[in-house]
Amino acid sequence: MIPSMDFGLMVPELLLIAAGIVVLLADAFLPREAGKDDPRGDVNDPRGINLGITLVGLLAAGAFIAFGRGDVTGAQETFEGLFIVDRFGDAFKMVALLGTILGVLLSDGWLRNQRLPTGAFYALILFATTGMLYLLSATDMVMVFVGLELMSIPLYCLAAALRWEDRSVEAGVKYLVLGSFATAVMLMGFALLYGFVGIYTGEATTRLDAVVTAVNAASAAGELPGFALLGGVLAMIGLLFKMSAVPFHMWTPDVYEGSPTSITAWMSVSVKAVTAAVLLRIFGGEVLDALHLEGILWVVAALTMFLGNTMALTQDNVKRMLAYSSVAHGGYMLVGVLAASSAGSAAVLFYAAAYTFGNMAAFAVLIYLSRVGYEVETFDDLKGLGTKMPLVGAVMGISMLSLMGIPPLAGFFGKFAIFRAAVTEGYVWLTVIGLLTSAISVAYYLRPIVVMFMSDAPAGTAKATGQAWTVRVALVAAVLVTVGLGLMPGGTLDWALESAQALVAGR
Amino acid sequence: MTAQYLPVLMITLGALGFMAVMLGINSLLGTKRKHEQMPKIMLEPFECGSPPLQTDNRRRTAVKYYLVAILFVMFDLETVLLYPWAVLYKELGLFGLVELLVFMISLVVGLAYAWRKGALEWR
Repeated sequence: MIPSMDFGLMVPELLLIAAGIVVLLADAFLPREAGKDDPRGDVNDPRGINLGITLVGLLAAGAFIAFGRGDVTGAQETFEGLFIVDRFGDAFKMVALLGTILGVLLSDGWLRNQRLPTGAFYALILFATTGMLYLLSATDMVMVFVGLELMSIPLYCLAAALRWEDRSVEAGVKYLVLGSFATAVMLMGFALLYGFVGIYTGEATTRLDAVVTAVNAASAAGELPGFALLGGVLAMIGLLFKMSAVPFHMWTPDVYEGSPTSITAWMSVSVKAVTAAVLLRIFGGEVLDALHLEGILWVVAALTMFLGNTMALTQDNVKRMLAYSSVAHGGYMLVGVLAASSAGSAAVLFYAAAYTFGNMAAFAVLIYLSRVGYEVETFDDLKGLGTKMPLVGAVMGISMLSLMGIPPLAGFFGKFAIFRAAVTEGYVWLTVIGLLTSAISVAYYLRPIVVMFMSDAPAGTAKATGQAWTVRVALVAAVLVTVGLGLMPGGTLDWALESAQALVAGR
Repeated sequence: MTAQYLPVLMITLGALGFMAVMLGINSLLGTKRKHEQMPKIMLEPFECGSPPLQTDNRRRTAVKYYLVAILFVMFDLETVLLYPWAVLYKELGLFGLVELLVFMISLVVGLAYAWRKGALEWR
């Protein structure tokens, strides 16, 4: 029997896959002048064809999600319920796509600095983005697995993109080994849940809504077996790993430090946003309590906020500092996942958007200041650059203040929305921990600002010049949106709330 | 319900018991000497005939083998999908043909990319 299929709902994903294939073909078949200034003999992309195709694909996918869905308000299912399109998934898809576009723009400058070939790099980014979009539309455990792998496997390769540098290869291998292990754990959890549904209802299915219904019913009747609880925990561990929540965060600093800076920036925002959305879709609502996961997630969120923020204090490498800061921000998102009401889900969405732009701005500054053969990585590398280049310094300052959560910047409203939802749902102590750890974070977020403006640049430091236009665009766009979301959060908050209501209504 | 697993338990106990008996008899009857006091013949591998070769068996393999192996896996997987399609060819009809063509084309794209990037050259 041929299943019912509506490819019209899958257009953004198909556009990204097509763009990825076209990039590969263009890279392989279009005649290229071999770069004369290329020490490694790799053929670069002087006319930016690969970049152009990638951006067109991403923008087309985004435009279709924004304007091409028609007036359907409810959720639409296709592929026998494997694939769902709803406002919630679409909203997170937009956030992920915007993060990816910024990541691609930053990558362009970085790839030119490093003289790396662009074709495979962009194709991998496109394929990983496709995985993110499938993950956001997944309503079936098998689909979650496929989407997660499609997202992760290109990321393993991208982490090791600097294949002649030990650190980058180490990052790739570490991410591959630990990531595969986490996926296997998650799969074991899914298998147990699948077995439970089959035994309890007599009908074996991998559909998430059927699993949730069965778990809730069994829990209400007091018949939930231990192995189903184990399945829930294991399934959640896999996702928490991708979100680098404590105690599954060990890989984060090493991988973020070794990966290409633009990929670090993109991973830290988009993967986190997508994973938070999947956690909300699977574990949001009463099923979290039914599986006895609420207390576990509470502890994980508290530990993540605390350890992320305190470990960031001691870092001398800016990328490592931002890695631990991303761990901490994952913790704040987990608070929103716990308070899975429509306000809580909306807060996670807004927070993900605010974090995407605020964090991208910080990484954009690092890439902007890097030159051929010189990567800005430690705090010492930033010395005095703010006084030399006040605008770049200001961008770093705004980004750090937004990550801290200082009004009137985007990060403030993100944190405010999350903590308000948490208090409404009764997580008062978690909110207190969140606020205290936010206070800790001020110390390390101020450090780049202090170093950039209040210490002297070493002799011979020159202004960064000759940066590609793409890096400038990404820098300006990220900081403008960070300020804009802070000054006028109303429209975006309403949009987030409407999207989140679509999710909560479907429960 | 658990009774059907009784043979497994019996086999497990039997195996453990056999092991214990063999090792026990050996340690009861055998002469005990310190390592240094043993004649050289006693340090040879037991009943294996010849002493092991003292060569290092770990050798590095050129990365080009892996490249070919990965390309091979690509077409291996294609075959895995081709068989069920061939069995169900009549039932799937045009739909199945188009689906398979999409799959084959994307596979060929991959091969073309590998070919243009020089993955097929043996250097």
